[in-house]
Amino acid sequence: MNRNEMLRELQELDFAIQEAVLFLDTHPQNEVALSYYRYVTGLRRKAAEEYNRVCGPLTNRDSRGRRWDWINSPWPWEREG
Amino acid sequence: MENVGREPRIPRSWMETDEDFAMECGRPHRPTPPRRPHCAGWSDDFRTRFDEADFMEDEMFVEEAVNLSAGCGCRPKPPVCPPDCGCGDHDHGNRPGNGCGCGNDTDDQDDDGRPGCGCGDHDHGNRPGNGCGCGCGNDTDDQDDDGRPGCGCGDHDHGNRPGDGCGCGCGNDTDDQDDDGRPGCGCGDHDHGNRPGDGCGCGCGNDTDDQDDDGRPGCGNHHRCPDMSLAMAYVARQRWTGKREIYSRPRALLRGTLFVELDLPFTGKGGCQDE
Repeated sequence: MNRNEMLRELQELDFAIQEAVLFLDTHPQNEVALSYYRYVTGLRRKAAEEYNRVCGPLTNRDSRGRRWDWINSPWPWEREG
Repeated sequence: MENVGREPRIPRSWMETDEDFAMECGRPHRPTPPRRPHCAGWSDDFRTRFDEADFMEDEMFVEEAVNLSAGCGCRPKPPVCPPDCGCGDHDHGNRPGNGCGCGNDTDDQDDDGRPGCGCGDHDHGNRPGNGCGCGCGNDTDDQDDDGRPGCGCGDHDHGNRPGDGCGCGCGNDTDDQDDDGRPGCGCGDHDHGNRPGDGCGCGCGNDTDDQDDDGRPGCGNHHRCPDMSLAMAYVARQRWTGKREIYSRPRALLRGTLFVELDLPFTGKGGCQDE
């Protein structure tokens, strides 16, 4: 997957997580919702790790290594010109 | 006293009811509430002051207001008629919202010299909301042969339908068939007779079996909760049982919701809106 595809996947996962969270706020005992929440958060963690590995840090909290590579472009919100 | 050109004060409950209802069902269901009379010498400024407590400090206004209310038989609290509304002999006692008006034409004949609203022989006595509006009259024989100006709606009986008032209407389609040439509201065969608030709006039909299976556009809210009390707000509880209630993630992001049953795009149609 290229960078845009990975970002798109992260958007979809974040959206699904937020929807599940809103549902769980009013239905905290719903097992289906809970299992879906655990599932998508796991997927989201893996997708973020993949993005960090391939494209660099997704957020300023994902910087790894001995250098501060967050300042290296492109940032996730930048589009190729 | 000079007319200061202010808008007449229509009771807030009227405005909210008409606007909210019209917004929901696409057209007004009641006639515009009667405005306070604009008669010579009738000052909007005076009327506004009289409604407020401040007038009690001004003896001139107190005395004048008492005289005014006694002179035309109007209640001192709204509506208040000036000495001369130009309306002659009027009884406003029992008709909410009439203000100066059409009189209490109890014998339903246009022979008593009351100027009314220029509507001729009209009985507004029992029709809520008619007030002093020019109207459709009490067309009791349901024929358009009596020269009443009506609303241009042909033969309509508005007698028993709350909220119809003088609006153009759906008629009294008692056989519930769309075969009688009444212009109606373009709603097909609808009986609005017994449903408060339908008025002349496009409607919910007379869905007596309380099922949403008969192709009537309905308002979507008259027969889906048959056991629910009227005038109470409810929020149906969302369910998630694992049986295909959610979209795939890409589709969910496109539709703006993960849940199929919450995918309710605004189209400006449906519910009580005209198609």
